[in-house]
Parts: sequence; C-alpha cells; structure tokens
Amino acid sequence: MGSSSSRQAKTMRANDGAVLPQDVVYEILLRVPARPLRRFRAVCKSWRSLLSDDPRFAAAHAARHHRGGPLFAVCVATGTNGEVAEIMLLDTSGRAVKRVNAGPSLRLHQILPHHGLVLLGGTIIGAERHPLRVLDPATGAISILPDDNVSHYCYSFVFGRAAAGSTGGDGEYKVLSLSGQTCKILTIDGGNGRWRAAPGPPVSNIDKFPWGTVVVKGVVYLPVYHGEQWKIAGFDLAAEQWQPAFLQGPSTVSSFISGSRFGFLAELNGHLAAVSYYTDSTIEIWMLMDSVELAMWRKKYRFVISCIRRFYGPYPEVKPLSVLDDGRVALWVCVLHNNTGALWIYDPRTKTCIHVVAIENCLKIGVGMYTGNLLQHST
Amino acid sequence: MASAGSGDEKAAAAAMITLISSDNEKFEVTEATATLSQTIRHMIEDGCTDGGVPLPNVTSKILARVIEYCKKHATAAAGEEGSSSSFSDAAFLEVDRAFLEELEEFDDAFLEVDRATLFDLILAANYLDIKGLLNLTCQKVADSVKGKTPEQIREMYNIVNDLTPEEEAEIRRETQWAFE
Repeated sequence: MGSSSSRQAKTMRANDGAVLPQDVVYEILLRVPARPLRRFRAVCKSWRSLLSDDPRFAAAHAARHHRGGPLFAVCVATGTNGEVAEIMLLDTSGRAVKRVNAGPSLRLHQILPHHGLVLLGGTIIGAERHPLRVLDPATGAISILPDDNVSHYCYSFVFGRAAAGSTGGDGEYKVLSLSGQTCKILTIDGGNGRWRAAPGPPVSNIDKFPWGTVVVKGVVYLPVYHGEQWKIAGFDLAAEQWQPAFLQGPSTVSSFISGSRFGFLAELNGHLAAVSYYTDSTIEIWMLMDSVELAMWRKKYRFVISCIRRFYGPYPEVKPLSVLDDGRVALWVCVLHNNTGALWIYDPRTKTCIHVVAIENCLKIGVGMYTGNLLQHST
Repeated sequence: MASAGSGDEKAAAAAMITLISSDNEKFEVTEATATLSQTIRHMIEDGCTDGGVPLPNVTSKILARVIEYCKKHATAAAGEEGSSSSFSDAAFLEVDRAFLEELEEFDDAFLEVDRATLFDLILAANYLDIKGLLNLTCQKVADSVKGKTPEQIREMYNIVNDLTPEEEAEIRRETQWAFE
C-alpha cells in the first residue's frame, strides 16, 4: 500500500489495549471534516505531517468530502468605499461553502483569484497605502507583498501559477506587473520575495486590458494590438520570458472588438478560451484545443442569454469558468464596471441557460475557479 | 479457479463455509454471507476453504457480530438482484426505500458498542476486507472525534504529544479559527 511516508499517522489505542494500525487511522482521519482536521494537527508530530504536508491524503480527503463539483471563488468589496472585502467559495448550486473576510480594504483596484489563492490590489489614496495582498481562502491567511513604489493605478497586475518544468505540475505563484514599457515580476514565497525586472512587453500599447488577461498552464495571455490586428501575446511565468510569436485568435475573433461584437479571453478546463459577445445577446465560446503552436480554435458553444442586456447593460462581460463533468458550462456574467454579476449555467443538451445566483451592488467583484487544497475547507 | 464440489450456480449460492475464530469456535455461514469479505472470497476462489477458514485475528465475540452484519447486508445485496421484475417501478422504489431505512436502523443499532469493541470491529473489518463494515465503523470513530480538542484526542486514544510547546503554539496560531 504505497510508500510509508504517506501513511505516517500514529496508531490509536483504546484504553483496554486494542491498537488501530496506521492505515486504519488514515481511513478514520479521511472521514473527519476539514475544520477539526486543521485542529488535529496539534495532536502529535505524525498527525501534523499527515494533515499538513501529505498531498495524497489531501487529495483523497478532497475526493471524499467534496462531491459537489467545482468551487468558484467570488470576491466582493462592499461598503461605501469598499472597506469590506469578502471571499466566498460558491458551489455549482450557488451555495457559499465558505466565506472569508479579506481584511481592511479600500477601493480594491484588482481582485484576481487564481487556483488556490486570491490577489488583492488596493488603491493608494493620498498618503494611505494599501499594499498588494495575497489571501488564502482555505485558511484565511493574508500575506502582504512588497511594495514596488509605483502607484497601483499606473499598471495592471496579472496573478498566476507557473508550470513546474517538464513534469507539467504546478509551480510557484507569481505576480506580473505591466506598465507601459516596464514589466516586473514577483514570486510569492512567504514574504521574502522581491520585485525583479522582467523583459519588456513585445508591443508598446500594453497598459490597458479591456478584455482581460488570463493565465493558462503557467502562461499569461493578453490581447495586444499589433499590425492593425488584435493578437494574443504570451508570457511564460516559469521562464519569465515573452513567447517569441503572437498567437492568432479564432478566425472570426481576429478583431477583438468591432461594431457588433467584442471578446474576452478566459481559461476553461486548462484550455485557453476566447469569448465573443454579439450585441444581439449571442455568446460564442471558442477553445484552443491542440497545441498553442497550431492555434486550432474550435467553436464549442453558441447560445443566447435573452435578458442579458436588461440585467447587465449594453456591455456585459462574459467569463466562462468551467465545463462541468456533465457537460454544462458555468459562466460568470457581469456588468462591465463589475459591481453586479451572476453565476449562470448553460446546458448544451437543452440549450438553456439557468441563472444560479447573483451578487449585486458591490464596488468590485473578482471571480475565478477555486482549486485550492480542499482539506483546509471549513465545513 | 472453482472450488471442488461447487457445481452449478444454485449449489454455489447454498454452499456453506465454516469460519473458525481465534478461540476455536466454529461458525457456519452461507457463501453469500462469507463473500462480503474480500479476504474470504479470494480464499474460496483459490479453493482453500475445505475444513473451515481459520481466522486467528478474530475472537468469537467479534466474529459473531461481524457475521451478524454480513448476514443482514448479504440479504440486502440479494434483494437488489432478485426482486425488481415482480414490482412496478414505483412499488419497487417504495419497497427499496423501506428496506434501506431498515438497513440504516440496523447499522445504527449495530454501532451501539463501547470503544474497545468498536476498535475490534474495525480491526476485523480491515483484516477480512469488508468494505461496508470498515466504512461504517471508521465513520463512527470519525464522528466521535470531530468535536474533540487535541488534548481529548490524545487522552482517548493514548497518543503521546511529541510536539514541542513552541510547535504546538505555532499550529494553534496558524489555525486559530479552527479552535474557536
């Protein structure tokens, strides 16, 4: 049964002598909800290492306790000036599985959930500085990132996780900051990180991203205007290099914006996706199926949310979040200014779109898939 | 593969197996009951159950309880296969639900034992590889520990605290919310 290192739980003994071996203790702890398990790390060393450091145990625990499918991290700033920020993990039925207070916040400029963490970029107002913070929704832990002495309004952040070399696993979380001709990068490593210069962007007009940036398998993708066309530039977070060639968007989305259509980039189940929204309320989702080099885009979904304009105004933002196991597609649809949004689920079999849950009248909302360590969920 | 004398399907279903506890008590059970244990199923498949199956790790007291569990759950398994054709779907679902409720009540009553017996049942379920029983008993222990503090866990299960006071304080600081 596997390596002994993953079965380090100490034996348990009833008072009259029956001793449960380690593999049975492992089975028992797998059945304990996450919140007490966090506490049980203080029982002894072997329990601490099993419950804190064993990815196999964490994965087995997640599989057992989280049958509700994927979770979406929805981060909202509320209050008159956005003083209060909260992160909710919603399941596909819209239920908040967990809520975490994100601490004092003021006019959050960017809220970027990625995998298991959330980057919070505060605005600097006068002398009041609100540094970049990274929050772990599983534990509520917040790390403050080093300041790089530039007003946050001058540039945009991208938050993602590098691919871990040839193994294709997950590497370090990094923040890329983009401002005009300057790029800087920071590795999130528990407070010791420093901003480093990164290679400058391949085009000069890189400071605005009306259609968002997205990180897919360790590569940051962002639309850039080049040669009188919108193309997609890629920055590899592990190599910290721009990719040599631009990527073409799907053929009909080569202009990201035109009179009747505009587009967004998204990450969908490990693929780069491009969304076209037409002003007749039609939504198309394209996915880059094969290698990035071949640029094989496939139109996977085309549907209409008929009431979209009434709810979200003439310029809604449409962000596909996940293709669920049963083939349905979870989407976040929101007003472009990002203060009201909702989770929708599109079912390709019935060609219907269901409204799941709305978040209204916030100052800022950031939404992404949550793929953190579910062992640490409270229940 | 097939054991000697287990001719056609019907004969196999009615075949009896003798289980022998650590204190040498013999229990006659049907093959359907015995094969809830993967360990015994493999022995039957290998044809090495003639003359009884010795279970040196299981006392007669515990083996009697394990057999009680297996009998009940083997009936459940047989019921699922056999009875569906004679009922309309709705009636079948009704019967099914009633039976599942009965099974749940049985399981709840079955778990009304002291901690030492519960541990012995877990050890037997683990050794005999009876998935349902292992799940049931492990879940019972998990439910009984989830409201406890680390100190209570150590005391209940005789675990020595080998963390330094500093390490323990750090864990508590990191997970303050889980202690509240």
